[in-house]
Amino acid sequence: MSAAFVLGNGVSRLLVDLNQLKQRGKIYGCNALYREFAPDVLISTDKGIAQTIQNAGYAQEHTMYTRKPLPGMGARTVPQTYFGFSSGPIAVAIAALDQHVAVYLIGFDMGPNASNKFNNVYADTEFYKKSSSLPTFTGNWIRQLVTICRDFPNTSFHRVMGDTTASVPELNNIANLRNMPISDLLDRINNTKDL
Amino acid sequence: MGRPLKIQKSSTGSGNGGAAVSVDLGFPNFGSLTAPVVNTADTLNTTEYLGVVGGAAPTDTPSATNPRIDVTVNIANPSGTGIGVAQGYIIRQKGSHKYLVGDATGVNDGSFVVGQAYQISTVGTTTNWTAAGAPTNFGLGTIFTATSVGGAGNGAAFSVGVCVLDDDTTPAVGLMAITFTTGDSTATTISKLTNKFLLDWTGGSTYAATSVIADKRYATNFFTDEGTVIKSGTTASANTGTVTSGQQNLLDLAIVDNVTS
Repeated sequence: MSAAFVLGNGVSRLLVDLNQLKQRGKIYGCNALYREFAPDVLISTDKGIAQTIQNAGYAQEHTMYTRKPLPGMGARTVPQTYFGFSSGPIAVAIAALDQHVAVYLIGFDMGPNASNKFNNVYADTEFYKKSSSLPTFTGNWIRQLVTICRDFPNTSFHRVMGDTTASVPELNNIANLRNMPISDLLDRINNTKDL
Repeated sequence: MGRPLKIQKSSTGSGNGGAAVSVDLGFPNFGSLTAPVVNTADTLNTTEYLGVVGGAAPTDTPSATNPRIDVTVNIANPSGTGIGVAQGYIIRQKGSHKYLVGDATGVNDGSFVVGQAYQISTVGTTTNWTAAGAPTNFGLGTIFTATSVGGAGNGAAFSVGVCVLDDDTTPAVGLMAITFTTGDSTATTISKLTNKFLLDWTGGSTYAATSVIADKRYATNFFTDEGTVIKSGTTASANTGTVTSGQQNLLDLAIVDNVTS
């Protein structure tokens, strides 16, 4: 199958034109992304925002996964193997389960923003921490991504590195995961080069 | 086991026949305290509180200010096999890791299993509850052990049983799972839950002493996972090194998975 793009909500992904990206592959996104862009698959595990998304009728029209879907609202249950994982890693796992050969992780910054604070596109909005908050603990996300890479040895994962994307030692020595400069991704997208 | 989990219930006016009122609805909220000490991130409002209350379905309705703990249960039936993994609720705490729980999947009159405990969820108008095994003063929330399959009435009940906390969101027969989150949307299972604290399974997925002492402790609540609070009885100084388990001075806040309607 073709490439898949999994969007985290770290600010580094703001450099990527999502509509352009959509021309090149299936898009998996998380949580508040739905406010501005409808990915092919949306994952939302935090109860508050997940229920808001479902109550807005989003899951009736689009594919959405959450841990405990509201009855009759159209959302699907997160695969049991990855039930406790966070939204971003679950999105990566579902992209792999969908048998994409290459999965690009965009906005998986896993570090603070340029001001050394909470790094999220949606900081200061409903269900999100303030932009002045401390960065989110990333240990679970890292552990979950390592697990997914191990579970899908034949899938090629690419972590797209922007200015605010942290270097994570645990992710640097995985055979099927490599770091990719965001300039490289943008070049391939903008100039319709192979992915 | 420390202070057990509070379970909301009703009082009928100190025995003098007064109106029923809910007790243990929630801990004193911050709006009712004269000099509250909140979490370091100051993200709790005046209606919110630290600690958790288990709730008491089906007689009470949870709300955003007084949620109910969301539990996944697999209650054993009289034959020893499980009823199946289902959403449930806590009725009362039986031990450090053990709870009397209900399975929120309703069982209609006529489908009761003899020997199985039930809690009446819909009294109905045509069910002969005493014939099914309930006491004569039955009502919504009454727990009884079925002595017959029941009849063709319009009442219903929830299965009831004792389950032990487990490190698995699809618990085996006789086990249950409660999860919590701490800011990164990961759902982590709880190894122990009191009315103030929860422990994870950092020390290992058993209740061996060597495992339990290494489990990480969190301050529970339903509302926020930002900031820390001081654990009573400690020095309140910063945790030394990279404390990830055992007793801590400063506790991270954890949101216990809950339902609000």
